[in-house]
Amino acid sequence: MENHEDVHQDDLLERAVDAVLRDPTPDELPPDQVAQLVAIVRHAADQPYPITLIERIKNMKLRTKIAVAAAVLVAFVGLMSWLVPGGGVALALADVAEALNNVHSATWKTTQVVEVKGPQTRTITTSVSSMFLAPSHERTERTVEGEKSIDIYDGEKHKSICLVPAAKTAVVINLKNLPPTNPFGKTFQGLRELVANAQSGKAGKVERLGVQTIDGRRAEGFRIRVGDVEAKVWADPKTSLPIRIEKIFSAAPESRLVMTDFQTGVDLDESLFSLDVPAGYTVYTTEMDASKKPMACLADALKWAAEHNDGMFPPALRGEQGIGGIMQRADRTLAKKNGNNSLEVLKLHTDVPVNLGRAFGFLLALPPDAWHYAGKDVKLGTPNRPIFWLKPKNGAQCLVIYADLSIKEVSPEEAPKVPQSEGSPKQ
Amino acid sequence: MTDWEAVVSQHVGIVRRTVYRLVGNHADAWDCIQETFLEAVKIDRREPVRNWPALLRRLATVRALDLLRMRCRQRNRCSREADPAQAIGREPSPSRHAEASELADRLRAAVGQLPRRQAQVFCLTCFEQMTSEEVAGQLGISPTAARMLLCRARRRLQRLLEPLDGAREKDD
Repeated sequence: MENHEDVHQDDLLERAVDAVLRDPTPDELPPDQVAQLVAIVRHAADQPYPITLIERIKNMKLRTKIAVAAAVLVAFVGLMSWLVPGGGVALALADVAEALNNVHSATWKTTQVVEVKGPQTRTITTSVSSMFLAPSHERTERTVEGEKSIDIYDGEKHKSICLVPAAKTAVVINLKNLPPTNPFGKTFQGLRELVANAQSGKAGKVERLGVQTIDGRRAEGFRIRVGDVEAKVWADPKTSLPIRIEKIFSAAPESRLVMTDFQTGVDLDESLFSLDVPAGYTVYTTEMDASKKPMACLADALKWAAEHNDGMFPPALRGEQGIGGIMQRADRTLAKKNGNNSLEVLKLHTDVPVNLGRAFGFLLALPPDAWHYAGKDVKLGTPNRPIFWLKPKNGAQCLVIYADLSIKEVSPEEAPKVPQSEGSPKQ
Repeated sequence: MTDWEAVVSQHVGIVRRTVYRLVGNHADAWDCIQETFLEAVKIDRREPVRNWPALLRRLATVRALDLLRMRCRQRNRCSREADPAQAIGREPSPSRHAEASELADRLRAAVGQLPRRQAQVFCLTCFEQMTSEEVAGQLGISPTAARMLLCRARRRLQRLLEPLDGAREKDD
């Protein structure tokens, strides 16, 4: 009976298959429909077609799919063992940001190496010791060529002093028009902002660097890129606090800054952060307007440079021929005339670097070809002669500084086309 | 660089027959034909195609089966009686009520209810007349697996076809 049923069902299926095969198929496609199909296929073949990962996996043979699945599983297990507490680190950049925000006091050391390229490339290495006391006090001590200087900053009073004990000189800077997020923040506050902005996606691209042993401690790394600045933050997965920070400024002059020896919860006396200038010091007090635009700062620095260069703008922005070189020569002249620790020298050492620092802090964070300098052989005050311009890539307005120091916005089409201009000169 | 005009002209007939056998109407067949060739474009970009007829028959079968399965799901969702003609959306024809045609429609609907791999193996073997080795090569499985899938497909189809046959016997 069962056999009979099987035979009957087989026969039925065969008849059904035969019926499908014998079912008449209508005539061939008409030529115009074939032509339409060819056009559709050709159009598709001409389109750029990025093959997605999912498509790749879908098109894999079963054996390959199994291999991929196994690899994914192994990677997942590895990741989990890495993330599970006790098996590795479970650190996110948000943890580092939070830990930094919770720090009340800290000390650390910073080494900065600047490579100044020229006929004779030279490297300048500076080492400083820093302290931080919440909410926003910072003290930095440095010794350059045997001369010690101390910078103290109070973020609440918006005031900074720089003391040189050996020379008994002090520069007091009063900051005004500071925005709510204080860009003047010194190292620790700057570090806080860098990490917080990167982890929240406000600024910078973040990339994990994995785990390394640094100074005998397990550390997890993050790379943060903001413009020409690359920062590597190595943090302890147990405390989420930094162990080592490396900052590389790829724009000229290339410099590398390394912060190490972090100690937190250190007992620091408030007197270390006093803004009172000791008796007997020569004091130069100045103001710094935080609302002043970087382009205005650059224009002021260029004006000063031209005034101290026979009325001609410097051939380059940086290096020996740049504003810094002119400043060094002016420094020697003033020191000879009025003495090393005179008010004039203090003024020079304060006003020009403040403008330059703000201008270059802005410019160096831009892509290398975003700005151009063309001040060589141009006299201060020459009308309608562009000496510097900033050309954003997104089609936004260009900012131009002219030789008469006026600053104008022009459309990208009207951007200066001075042949001898140099883009973001790397000297 | 693939000469698509030549590929389409030479093989559109094969694709059309393969698709029409399963979907049974012009509109659906036309959609499936286009999708088959568009899928072929993607594959051609990834790797050189050695056997266009075999590839296109496989792609056409897969596309047509996808359509059949979609109809099957829609039919189940609507909880309608399994009316073979409605299930495959067949266009009216003079032979509509002939037994062979009815059986063919019933098989099409039943194939749409098979698991995907079984349906592909069954169609390539029984409708496209490919050997187990050819089917295995097209689907990236072993010939043994192809034969096993075919065996399961046949058993399942036999069960799915049975009620109609039983009903006819009763009528008889």
